[in-house]
Amino acid sequence: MAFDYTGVMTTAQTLIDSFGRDVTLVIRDTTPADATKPWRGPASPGTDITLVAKGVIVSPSSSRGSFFGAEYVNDAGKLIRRTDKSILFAENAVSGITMKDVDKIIDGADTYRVDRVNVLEPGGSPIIYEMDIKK
Amino acid sequence: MTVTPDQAIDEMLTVFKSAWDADATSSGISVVYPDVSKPITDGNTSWVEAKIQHSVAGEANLFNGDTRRYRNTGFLIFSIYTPFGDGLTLAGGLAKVIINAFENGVKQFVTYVSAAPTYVGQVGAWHMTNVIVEFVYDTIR
Repeated sequence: MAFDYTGVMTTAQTLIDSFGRDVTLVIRDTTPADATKPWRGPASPGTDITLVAKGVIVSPSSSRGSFFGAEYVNDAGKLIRRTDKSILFAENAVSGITMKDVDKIIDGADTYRVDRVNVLEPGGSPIIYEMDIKK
Repeated sequence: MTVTPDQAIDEMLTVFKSAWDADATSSGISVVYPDVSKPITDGNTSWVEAKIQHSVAGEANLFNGDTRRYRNTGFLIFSIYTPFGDGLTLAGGLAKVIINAFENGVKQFVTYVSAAPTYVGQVGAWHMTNVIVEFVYDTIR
């Protein structure tokens, strides 16, 4: 019988809701202003998709130590800079959007670019997303 | 004829896009343009990344007091990513679409000196093929 991850997902969301804070996830509008010249980019300003969700910001090495197992360099072999962070989201909090498409995280006055998206997904059930974010 | 760099880029990428959208082999396959959209991450999906690399711009005529003509050269690099394992069937077909575009496409300001494929090899889940197109155009300043 397949393991039921519902309880684990609820626990993850409860913890992140308790210890996280609201941040804004932004998916940049990439619809070109001129369909015949998509290389000229979207209209400025485009119509971005945004979602406010609870996230926990941690240092990259601490999250890797917990379940991704590497420090100081990420999986692409790039050095982690001192301003780099990781942010954790519970699946239930962000299920309305495609996480790999998120471009920016806005945390108060700080805006981070998303470098990578990892997902803890045992048995095909997403539980926690971890994003490497850079200023 | 002379042209501005922006007009040249528009012309070069329009030649590519017109052929890419019209050919049954390539139509519908995603194109990633510089600084617009993110690379495709699905290893079962073919895609192409278009890049423009200008190299040098040398003065092409003697200074006549008012205007100077500069000759701009560079390369268009189309990196084609196809799911690994079909023996270059799709990659070769897509490369041919691009080569035909620049050998036969409408040319107004830009001259295409050469267009050829380079089979790079396996990159992640894909086979990567670069089509490199050498271009030349003149600007007046």
